[in-house]
Amino acid sequence: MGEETAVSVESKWEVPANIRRLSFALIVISFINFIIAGSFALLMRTDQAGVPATTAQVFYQLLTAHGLGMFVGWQFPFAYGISFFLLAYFLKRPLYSYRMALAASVITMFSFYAMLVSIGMGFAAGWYYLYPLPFYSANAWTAASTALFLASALGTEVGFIVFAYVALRTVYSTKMPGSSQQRFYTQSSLYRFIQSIGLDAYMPTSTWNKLEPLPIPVIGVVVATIVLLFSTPSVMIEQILGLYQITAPPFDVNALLAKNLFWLYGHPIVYFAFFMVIGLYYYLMTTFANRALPSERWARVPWPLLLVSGVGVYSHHLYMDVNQPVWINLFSQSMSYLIGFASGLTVFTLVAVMWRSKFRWSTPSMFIVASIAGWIIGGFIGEEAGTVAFDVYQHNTYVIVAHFHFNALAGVMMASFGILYFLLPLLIHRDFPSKVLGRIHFWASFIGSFGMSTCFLVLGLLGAPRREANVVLQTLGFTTTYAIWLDLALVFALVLGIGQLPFLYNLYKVIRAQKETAGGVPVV
Amino acid sequence: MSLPVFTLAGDVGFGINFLAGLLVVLVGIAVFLMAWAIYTTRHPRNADKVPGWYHKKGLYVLAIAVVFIGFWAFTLPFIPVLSFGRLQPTQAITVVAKQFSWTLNSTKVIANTPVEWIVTSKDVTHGFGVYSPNGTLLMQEQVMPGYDNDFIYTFTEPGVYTIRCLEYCGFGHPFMVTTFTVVSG
Repeated sequence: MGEETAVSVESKWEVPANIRRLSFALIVISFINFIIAGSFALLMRTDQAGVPATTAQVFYQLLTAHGLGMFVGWQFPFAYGISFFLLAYFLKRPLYSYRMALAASVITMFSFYAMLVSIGMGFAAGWYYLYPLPFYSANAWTAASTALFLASALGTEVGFIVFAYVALRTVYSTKMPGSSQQRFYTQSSLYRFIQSIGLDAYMPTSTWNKLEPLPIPVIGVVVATIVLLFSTPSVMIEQILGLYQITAPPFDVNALLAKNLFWLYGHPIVYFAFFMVIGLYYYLMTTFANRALPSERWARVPWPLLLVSGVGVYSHHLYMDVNQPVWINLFSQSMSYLIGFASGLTVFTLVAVMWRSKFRWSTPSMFIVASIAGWIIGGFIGEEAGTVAFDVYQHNTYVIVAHFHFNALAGVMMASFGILYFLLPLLIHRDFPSKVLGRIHFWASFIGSFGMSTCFLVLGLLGAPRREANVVLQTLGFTTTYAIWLDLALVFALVLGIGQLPFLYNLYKVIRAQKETAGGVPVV
Repeated sequence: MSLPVFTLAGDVGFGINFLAGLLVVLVGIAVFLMAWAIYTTRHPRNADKVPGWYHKKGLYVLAIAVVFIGFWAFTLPFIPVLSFGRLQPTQAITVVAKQFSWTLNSTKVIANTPVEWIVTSKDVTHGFGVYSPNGTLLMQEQVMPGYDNDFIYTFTEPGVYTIRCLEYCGFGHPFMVTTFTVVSG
């Protein structure tokens, strides 16, 4: 197996310094945004625990900014940062266009901060801004803040489209940047595409054996990018219609249409960094276990399923809309199961890699293994909530909050820390100065994220509604049973928050360090 | 003669206790297996070989696929909107939602006969959630403006039930609460 590509690359390929610097800068920005958005969450948790920290207005502004800060402010620069590095590292080629990569990053981040400004101006319809709420604020926010929010959101999507162009051209372009002579890969462009989404695993063995498959981290970047690229036009249409509604008041966007348009994007967005992380799991776990994948082919089987189901699951946000065609909901239930099935295949392979191996336990590997556990637990909750018949008891309760906190916080966020600890020497040829602080960071993040998510799960099973400034109402006696779990959630949130201080100190020290302490070799 | 599940659908369904139990079992199994996998790394054997059970991957995958498909089919009759056509409501209550209040044309519901809730919104999307007297979330639906949002449900126990908005609808959202009474038929 394995035919040489037309271009011979140096056996010791090093990612160009400008890409490494850009990747590192983006990852640092993402963690700064994480701290900011996390601080918003801490304030909300404090308020929910009965310590008055905000007014209802500020609470909902924080609610909007927290979701936005995590899904866009943290996720996008992190995903951009690791994509740029992984593509260059595993494909052994520079990015298709460094300037466009830089432009994508600047546009996205500028737009994100403009969205935060709109929230500062009063906009508080939630990061998902269900129509027509943005236009019915009950005098709580202005049309100008809504317009700025929607226009800035469009900006983030423009930035993403530029990113997608750079990322996909880097994978599919046959020409090396700066050269018009050599073809970068020998297979046809169509087969390159087939490989890039893992579809080659379904090809006849004779075809599979003919060509070297693409590295799985590259497949993760491609699938994540295509899923979101497919979804982006729908939300752009929704936002343009919203901007038109502001300028032409009699025009009214249909609420059900708008909800479909939003969630067609709003759910796949959570897979953007997630799929990249899944792609990296294969690489990282084999590195930690010092063992090859048990089957390269089986490791690619889940990817086309993730590609299809990543978009198709969207309607599970509309199960409780009785006017949504039931066949769409049943389709999304099927896709929710398919994504669970594909995830199960991935975990199956990852556990096989780990099983009875000489696994090297270190800060990055502990983060990665913990994140897989978070992914599994969040996945089971998601499968329940993704079942139409069950959603009647779980929709808009804390069960959903538990689902995405297990997946996004205990899963993807924990993984992102592990990835940073692992990649840092490759990115900047320096390593974190203190291993002890790294371990403290891990344990605090692990206890905080899993503990808090568990509290959310219990709250959800008790029926506690999400997105409430006042979950406990004195006039509703049964809501007092929520209080203890809200208090506990605050305790775990504090553990999580305080646990980021050693990380920030380590990050500060490594940024300030002048000399190289690690020669481009990952720490495992 | 309709299947019993169809009379249950939209009324009591599975109930939150069943879902909680199912989650505990599933997550428990997953956490146990994950912990076991971690434990095996303390005693590495055949470190360079693929575990024997991995060779039966086709069988495991098939089993998982069967579970998913079976579960899909099993839960189908319990989907609320699919059951509405089979239920014959003898009461109808109209509910109008607006920022930040509920208006019901009647606050008295008769137990053990299906009631049709016809819920509309005058402004934004709200969430029509009904809690039992002891605080169990029994049913809910989104209340989307521009649509009649109908839900059929049968209450079995008399008492004072709570309607709480379950979709964020503005700053007054937490206080969008009202009650109605279920009386014996």
